[in-house]
Amino acid sequence: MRALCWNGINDLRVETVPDPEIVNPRDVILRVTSTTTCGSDLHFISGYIPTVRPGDVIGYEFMGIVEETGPAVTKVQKGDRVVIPSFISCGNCWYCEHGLWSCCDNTNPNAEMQEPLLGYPTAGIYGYTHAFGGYAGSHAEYVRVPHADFSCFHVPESLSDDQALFFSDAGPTGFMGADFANIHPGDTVAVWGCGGVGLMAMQSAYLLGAERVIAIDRLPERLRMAREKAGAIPLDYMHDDIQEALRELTGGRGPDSCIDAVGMEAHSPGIDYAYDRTKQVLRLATDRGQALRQAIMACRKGGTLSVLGVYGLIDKFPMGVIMNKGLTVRTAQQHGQNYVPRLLEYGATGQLDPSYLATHHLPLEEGPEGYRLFKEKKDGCLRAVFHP
Amino acid sequence: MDESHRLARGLGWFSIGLGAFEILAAESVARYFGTRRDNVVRAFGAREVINGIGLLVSRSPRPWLWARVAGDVLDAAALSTLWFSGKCPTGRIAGAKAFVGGALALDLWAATRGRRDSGAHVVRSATIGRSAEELYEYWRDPAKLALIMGHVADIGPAGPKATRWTLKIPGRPVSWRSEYADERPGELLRWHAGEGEPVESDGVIRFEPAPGDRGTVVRLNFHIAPRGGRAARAAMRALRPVPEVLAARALRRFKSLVETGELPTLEKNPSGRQGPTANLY
Repeated sequence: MRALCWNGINDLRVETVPDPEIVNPRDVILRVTSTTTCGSDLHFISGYIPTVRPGDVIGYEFMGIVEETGPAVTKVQKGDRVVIPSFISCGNCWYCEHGLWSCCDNTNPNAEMQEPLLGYPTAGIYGYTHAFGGYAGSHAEYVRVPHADFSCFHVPESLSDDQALFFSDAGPTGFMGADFANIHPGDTVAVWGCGGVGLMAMQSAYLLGAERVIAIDRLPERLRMAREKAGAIPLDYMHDDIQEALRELTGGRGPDSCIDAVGMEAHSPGIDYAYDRTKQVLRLATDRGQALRQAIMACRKGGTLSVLGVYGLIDKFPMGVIMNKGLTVRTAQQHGQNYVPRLLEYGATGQLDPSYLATHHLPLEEGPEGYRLFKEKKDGCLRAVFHP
Repeated sequence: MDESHRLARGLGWFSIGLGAFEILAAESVARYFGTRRDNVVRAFGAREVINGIGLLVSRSPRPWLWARVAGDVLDAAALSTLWFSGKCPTGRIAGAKAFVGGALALDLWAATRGRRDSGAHVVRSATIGRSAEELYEYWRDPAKLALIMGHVADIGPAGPKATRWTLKIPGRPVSWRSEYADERPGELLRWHAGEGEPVESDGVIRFEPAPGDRGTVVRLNFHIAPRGGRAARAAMRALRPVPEVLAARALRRFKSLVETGELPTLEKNPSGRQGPTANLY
């Protein structure tokens, strides 16, 4: 089959690789119909997350048609159209049973590799480094989906691929961010980052009862989407003083909840950006943390900070601000299986339609070009969707 | 602290003392040997100090003991250079060489002793979401134990109260019989391999209820060492760096097998790589 492979820093190529096969009884083989780029890919494509190996098939936000099922699979069958969360979770361990799906104990074949980095290993992910399992990703014609009964969610016929695809990752991640944000009626929620996840977090915040959502980014087309599609108040951090603007928009209190949907490769006009960027280029640090630090500073006293962005070993982390203001910090990789059924329901009833995230459609063969558009944010690219 | 560690610590303090002397009295030392290269003496002193600190702080001093051996050889070579230069009285060189020779003998002895029999002792726990009785039965079944241990050994029954283990490593096969010494269903299982076997192994796996709805705490505690034969010693050497990892993996496999009925795997995982190592990191 054809698949998009990582071959070195910023070196992606579409190659012919072996087809996946059923290996375990609970596996299915999925024929991928839509698979999309995600900002977290860029961190390892650019070399900031270790343990990628040349030849790895990448991609983890996808949907498709079940092609073949293992003998222990009961809830899906050949021909079913399903969407799949990016974390691979067994459904049976203590973590899965408590809704902490991305902490699953039974799906990371390289747990020993990750244990020294994190203390206790996470679940595996499709196409996201060997420390996170080494599973082949979804930018391919076919992908093996383990523990299919817990991972495959049937897509209602009324939803198009573009409407359902983002319920694989951007949707549940954004919704989890809003769920973590402890939203009450009357609350103001500020979201850093107007990419797919940030936009989903904004819409989810409204669905969970937020009074007002404020969006922070620098790209005009993304801020426009935040305003028009998510109903957020846009702030451009290259022009506005974010701390002052947020204070004045919230009557001097600060946002009740702040959601970081940016992560380790943030941008900002300040001197701290130059400092972090220099260290990152010299590989002395993994993270540029401007968005996160800004969110910590902006949050009201006793408020909630919900972190969705991906981080490594960040330094200059203002713990004193968190401590003295009494903030609650909540974060996780996506516990997608908790949220996908609810999101599909929102999709079917028309309350949440993420199809506008799909700004570019390309055949898989043009994967490298899709990532170039996405990485360089060319041509208004928010998400490139590949069709193998 | 065992005796070999005590010797390593002694050599560490000796290194630091000698190194400090070489650094502080570099000019006198150089003059004594008829040379003016006191910076070389200081560099040698710094090497001794670093080596000494390494011996004191390291959990496994052996590499640092070998570093001392290499340092001794360097010292001897430097003394030979001085001798050929002809600027230093032969008696002083001979005295220093005798001192270095003594140190070399002691360092070599410290670096090579205790290699034979130490083996590995591993303690590792995991919490598994099943009852103690169920987990005990699974582990006690040789066919199931073979699944758990599939990453290290082939296991088969060897009579009603024993299993036969054959390590999965390249080279001459290493195989031994392990007897169950104590069987308490739902509580613990103790095994022993020894007399007449190439490998000596004592171990126990305990099953204790975990708090709340967490299932059972499984504690694995075993010692394994080669008893005789080159193949067994070679096998233990091959496994030595990783027994903790292998034990942790065994418990993970145990957990995945009983909780999900399968093992997470990268078998036949598609990639742009080819060959037997395509799916190893």
